[in-house]
Amino acid sequence: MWLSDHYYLMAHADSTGKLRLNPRVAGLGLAASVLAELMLVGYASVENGDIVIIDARPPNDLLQHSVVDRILSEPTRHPIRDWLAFLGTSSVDEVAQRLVKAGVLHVIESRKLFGGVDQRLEPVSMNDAAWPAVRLARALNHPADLELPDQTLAGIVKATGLSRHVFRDEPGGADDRRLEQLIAALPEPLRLLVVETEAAVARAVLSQRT
Amino acid sequence: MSAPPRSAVSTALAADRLGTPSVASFALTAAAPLMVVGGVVVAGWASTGITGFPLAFVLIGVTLAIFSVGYIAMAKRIRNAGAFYSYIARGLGKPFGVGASFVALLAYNFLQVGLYGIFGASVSGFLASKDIVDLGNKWWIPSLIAWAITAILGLNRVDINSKVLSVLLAVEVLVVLVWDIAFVTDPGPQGISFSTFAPDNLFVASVVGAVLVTVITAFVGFEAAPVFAEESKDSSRTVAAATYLGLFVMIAIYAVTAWATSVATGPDNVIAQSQEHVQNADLLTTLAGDRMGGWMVDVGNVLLATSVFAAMLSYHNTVARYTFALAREGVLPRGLARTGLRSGAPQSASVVQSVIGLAVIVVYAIQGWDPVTKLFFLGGVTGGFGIMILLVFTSIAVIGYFLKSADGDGPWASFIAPAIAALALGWATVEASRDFATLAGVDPDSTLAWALPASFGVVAVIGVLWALLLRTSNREVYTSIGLGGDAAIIDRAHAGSPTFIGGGGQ
Repeated sequence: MWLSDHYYLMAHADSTGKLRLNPRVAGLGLAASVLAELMLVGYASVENGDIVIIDARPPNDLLQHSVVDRILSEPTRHPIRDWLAFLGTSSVDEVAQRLVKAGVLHVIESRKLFGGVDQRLEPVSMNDAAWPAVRLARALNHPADLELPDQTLAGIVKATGLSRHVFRDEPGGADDRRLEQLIAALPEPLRLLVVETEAAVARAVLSQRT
Repeated sequence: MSAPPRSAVSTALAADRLGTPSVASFALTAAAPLMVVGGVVVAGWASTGITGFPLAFVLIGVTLAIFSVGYIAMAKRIRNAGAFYSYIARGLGKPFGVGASFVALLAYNFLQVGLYGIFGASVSGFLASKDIVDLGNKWWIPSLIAWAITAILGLNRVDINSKVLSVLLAVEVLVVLVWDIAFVTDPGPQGISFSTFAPDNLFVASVVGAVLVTVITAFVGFEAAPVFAEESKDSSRTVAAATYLGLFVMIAIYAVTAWATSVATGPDNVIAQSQEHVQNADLLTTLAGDRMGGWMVDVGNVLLATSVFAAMLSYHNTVARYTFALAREGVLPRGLARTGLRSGAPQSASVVQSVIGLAVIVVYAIQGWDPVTKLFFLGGVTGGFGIMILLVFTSIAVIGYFLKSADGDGPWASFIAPAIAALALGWATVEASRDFATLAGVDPDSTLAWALPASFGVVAVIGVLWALLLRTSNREVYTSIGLGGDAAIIDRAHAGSPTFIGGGGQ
């Protein structure tokens, strides 16, 4: 499973598949996760605050391929915050589709009260869906052994306020400190991505639109 | 050659942005025009005994327009949800900035809780007059209901849709204009008199301050536009246009309606009639009803209630967001930056404001103090006084900023206009601070007369001292003050050598 798949499962309830987070914030978290995937595999990086494609070979994964295409088809470069906002509107659905194709989520149909059918996405296995959060929390207990993808994922989790669920921490507590140190220790492009995600989340809280 | 290729990103982001009318309607909602003409002005006449409000609206309105020149120049250069505080921090230094932020929080809280008073009084009056239910003087029942709804909406981060607000505002403005025409075409015993524009009816020593602060309270909300800079199309132009549009609409409506009301009662009667009607907040609706029939009264009362409620929610959210922004920067305890996971709302901040509102309603209910004159009006003008102080210091800060940075838009915007605004508003502030006894309806020696204005001095000093403490004890937090919590991000791990990643603001 890719990084954004892990984030998706952490952001949704294990049993019902319902979103734990504010939809706009979840969109930002998933957008950041997908961009992080591209950076970790070496397709993308950050130059002067802008997202750039550094390896034009098409990725195998469909979603990554689609995002690389979108970045390449833009006439100008855009800063991280713009990509987060733009990708954030579709990221939840796109990662969900990937998980359905991978057999991790399935579509549950139910009858609506006044006719029509409601379609929901539910995890196939509750335990499998709960695993990413458990795994990351355990890994955080050995910060020295943490690898880059997990470091990045932990950073995005913190930036989107999901750490409350995953790490059961309190603001300003020991886990919070550890997460901040982890973020600071990331290589610059990933660090900037996480930091911009946190800023975007704060903007979402402060904005006047619901 | 052909047109430049389309950027899907730019198009998508631009489509999501707010235009001038939307931003202006957010500002006007906070100002709540119907509440101003129906509540603030009437209470102002009743308590000051001065008729010259129409003139005061024009003079203050023009002063605020001059103020806005420097204000908008700063808004173009600094992006922050807490506009006054970050401009003052950048122009006069961080200690003053923190002091200003505490003044702003106190002022907006005063304004917000005051609204519960007029909501309760006018709704219970309306229900009694329609024989729906007689709540006696239990004004606090509708107030508590409004409080509960506000608290829930605030926790769930629900704002009234900007289209709905625009429609509501348009209807309010229309109704007020219809009333103005009715008042003028069917004037009172003195016919069409312009005496309320005569300077002698305004510049009466030892009361003019009370009038001026009341008028400033009416305009509060005009300063909201820069908060939307991030979300607006072409932010500098939208912010400027929305601010001036809002001010223009306010000046026109307030001055004309106040004047038309005095024409309808006759200038010699307007004070007495205001005093008679102030506690039910129904002077205007009564005058309108006399000329157009009872249904007009009902329309007016319903619109007044919706206008007040929209403003109530708007100020609640303003306080919550301000608190959140300050807590994020570390100026306030970080626990106040806690957000609701599913709502994305500034949860802790919203709860704190709700608790304050509840406490005030309960105290007033138990003590039996009048909700319109002692909660709405007194709370409102005290809040307005705090805003006045902020306006003065912001103008000085504009001058300070452009003295240091020299990248201004010319001497008018950077120095002359702010200086005029600072002097005029500064004089008004001094006058107003002396007149609180009149506003509160108490003896000049009573504690309330000086305690209310002094409260701002107290919190300002606390803010300054707190900032100085932070300077020595927590350098990271101190350095991030006023820089715009989301535009400049401090690298916390590089303690001692913060690096700033410039975001939106230049």
